[in-house]
Amino acid sequence: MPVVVGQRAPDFSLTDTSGDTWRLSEHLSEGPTVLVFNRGFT
Amino acid sequence: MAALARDRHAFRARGAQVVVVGPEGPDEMRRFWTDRQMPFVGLADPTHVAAERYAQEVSLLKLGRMPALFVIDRSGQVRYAHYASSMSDIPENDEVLAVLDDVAQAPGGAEDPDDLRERSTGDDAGGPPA
Repeated sequence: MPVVVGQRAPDFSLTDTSGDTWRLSEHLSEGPTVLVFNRGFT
Repeated sequence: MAALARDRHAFRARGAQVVVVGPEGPDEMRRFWTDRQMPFVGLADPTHVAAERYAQEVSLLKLGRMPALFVIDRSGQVRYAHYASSMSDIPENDEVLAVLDDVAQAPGGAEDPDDLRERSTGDDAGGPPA
């Protein structure tokens, strides 16, 4: 199901480029999030 | 990505964090981020955990994952969602920045968590701070 405006953003946890775990819900309070899904870099 | 990086100051000025999810593994992502000095959070999603939660489309015809972009406010609510119809269908920065401006103007949108805590403390005290 596509994510739509008005719904709660699905949470997830991934490894960032520093090797640390990054969880969306732990960073929401830092400000609005622009979440970009890329096609790939390589 | 280059366009986003070019306007990084405009995103920062709005207090926004730009987070980019890619399908590569952590080592490839780290190499790319280091080589290009990307000014954003980069997240490796080789098993498509986040991509599936956000229903990022896969185009077999175009041999890859289709771009998608979301704006999420501090409360965790999705305020903007864009699923690309082609590999180059990426929203203009001005469009995304306008959404961020709207988010900031919405009730609570520009609140700083520290301000909320301070206000809460004031309410608990039964009156305005001295």
